Amino acid sequence: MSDTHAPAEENVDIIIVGAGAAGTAMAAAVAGRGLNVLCLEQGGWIDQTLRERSVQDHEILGTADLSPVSEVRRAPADYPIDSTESDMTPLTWNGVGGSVAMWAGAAPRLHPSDFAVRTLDGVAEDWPITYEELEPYYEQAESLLRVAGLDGNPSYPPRRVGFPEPPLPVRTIGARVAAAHDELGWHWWPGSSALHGRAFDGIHNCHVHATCPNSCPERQAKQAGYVSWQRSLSGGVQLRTGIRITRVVAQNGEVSGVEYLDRGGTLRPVRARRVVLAAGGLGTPRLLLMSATPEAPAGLANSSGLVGKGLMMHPFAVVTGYFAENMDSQQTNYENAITCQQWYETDKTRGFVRGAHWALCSTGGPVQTAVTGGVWGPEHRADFGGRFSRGALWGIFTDDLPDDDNTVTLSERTDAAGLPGVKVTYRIPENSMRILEFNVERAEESLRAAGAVEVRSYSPARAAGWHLMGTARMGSDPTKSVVNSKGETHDVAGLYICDASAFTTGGAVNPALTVTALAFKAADHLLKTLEPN
Amino acid sequence: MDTSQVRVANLLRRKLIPDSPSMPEIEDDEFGRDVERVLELRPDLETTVARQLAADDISSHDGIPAELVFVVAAAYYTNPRVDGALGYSAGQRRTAPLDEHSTAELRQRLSSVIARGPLYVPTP
Repeated sequence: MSDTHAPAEENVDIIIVGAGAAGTAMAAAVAGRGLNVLCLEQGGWIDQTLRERSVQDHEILGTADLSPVSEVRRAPADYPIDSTESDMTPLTWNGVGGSVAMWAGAAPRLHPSDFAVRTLDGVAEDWPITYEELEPYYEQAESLLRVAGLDGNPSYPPRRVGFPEPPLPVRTIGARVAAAHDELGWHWWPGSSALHGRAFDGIHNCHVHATCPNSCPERQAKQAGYVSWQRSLSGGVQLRTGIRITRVVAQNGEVSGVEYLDRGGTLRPVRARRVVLAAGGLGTPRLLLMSATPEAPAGLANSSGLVGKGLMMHPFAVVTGYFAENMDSQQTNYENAITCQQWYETDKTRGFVRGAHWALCSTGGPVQTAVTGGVWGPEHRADFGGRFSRGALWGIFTDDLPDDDNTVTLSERTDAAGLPGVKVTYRIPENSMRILEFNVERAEESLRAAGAVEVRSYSPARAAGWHLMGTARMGSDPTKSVVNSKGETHDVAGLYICDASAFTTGGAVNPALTVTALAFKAADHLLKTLEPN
Repeated sequence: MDTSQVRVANLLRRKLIPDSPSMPEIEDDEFGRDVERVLELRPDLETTVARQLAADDISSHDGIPAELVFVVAAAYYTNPRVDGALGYSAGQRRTAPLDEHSTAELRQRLSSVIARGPLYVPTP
């Protein structure tokens, strides 16, 4: 797929900034409708020669060119991310597909209660929409991503329609831990996933390489999005990669376009009737703050002062059990063999509000096993043999609530074009720490009950900032939020935000599906306000 | 790498990951190529590791720099014969049967979870 070339002057209907999960869904929603749509992406297509390296090499590339830590991979498309004052390291990918390139495919919905934490728990703010209002868009998102899953999960309301694809096998570790949960009387359920257990429409099934966080060598989990881009491009959407937005332009309270630097460094203005920001929880506030003017000195769409505030990252813990026998761990889907939401909802007797989502994961390949073990010399073989392929890992994602001291601000460090990077200031909230403590203890019980001979816990994990949310949050009150229920900013008509920065609260599950659903919802509104020229 | 660096790399390998009769025997030259492959993927480590391999001081594995430990371990465990002996063979395409029978079996296995009833809190 080749990128389009920029004419000297441009005037389009819709600009989409960012080709990640949100931009992919927005492009799919507005393609083929006779509109002139331009998507601008800072990165490029992920290097297929890297992707096609042997799977063993992915264990090494994940520490370098395919690292989700921008300060490690130092790719030309990246902007600096200073996380020296953050309890967690933000993990990102700039390129077509966005951070989905490093996604293990987890595609759960938020819970109904996640949208009403002020009403139910007296904390933060309610979303201006309900689960039921978002449900039709969840269905669109699941259809786009061809999500695999099993209906009937008692931790969710009954679904209106089934999953597009059947669930993935729970495999050895899932079956073992599920049996323990049945004994304990605890919840478990096969995870809903954008990985697929069977081939369809030219998309092959997951081959269980278990290298998801370092980019799948076969583009599984991202295939549906890739196919979607092919359709969007066929439907007339232009995609231009390798550019850098310098600012979003607005006049008299209405968006009028963007300015960007092309690959050669030439500044190019593009006029647009609508601009959709889909640059992620760091990139979107960065662009709004970079777009400050004398009329909006604190940044565009920032009359509330909340752009860049309230960052949520889903504090994370790892609890790993090792078993006396082979569990085929390295032949298991990286994430979501099974999930557990026994402690997702609030029970105030526990000393905190909200809860956690658990995902049972494999414990990785041999390089990861050896290096994380850290036992060398005469004891190495025994240590390695006792852990390789014998582990089951609960990844514990905790609910995160907005704290306005957790921020994304512009930093003095600049990218290759001289544009500012971001500084992330994030301290794990006390409530989240209590959730972690409680759930780590339960997860240790879970794995011991399953027969693990050794259990190791690591909490909170620092390099776990996959989910960057809440930095341009949604709400009804313009003094307490940045965008309205349609995803349009309160301050600037025609300017939409449809990525995870619009989350009012974080819930405890992977945000990819909700991001996709919000993009479809925003597109629905945008299209109603925008007739083709 | 020159022959001296290959020799030191192999000494390190045997110190960190002692030979085992149940694992393939790796020739020194073969392992040298494995190390070079890792450094091709991690060019950021090349200068540091080359200098460390030239130092020839590996008397204590506690004192071996972390980046050198990583390179040696990665080179060994991504060697195709080691990988094959472990049964990892991540290049293999594994599939699992996925049909109506497996889904029905899974639903049957979940019967006790379903029987315990709803866990979610509905929209207020």
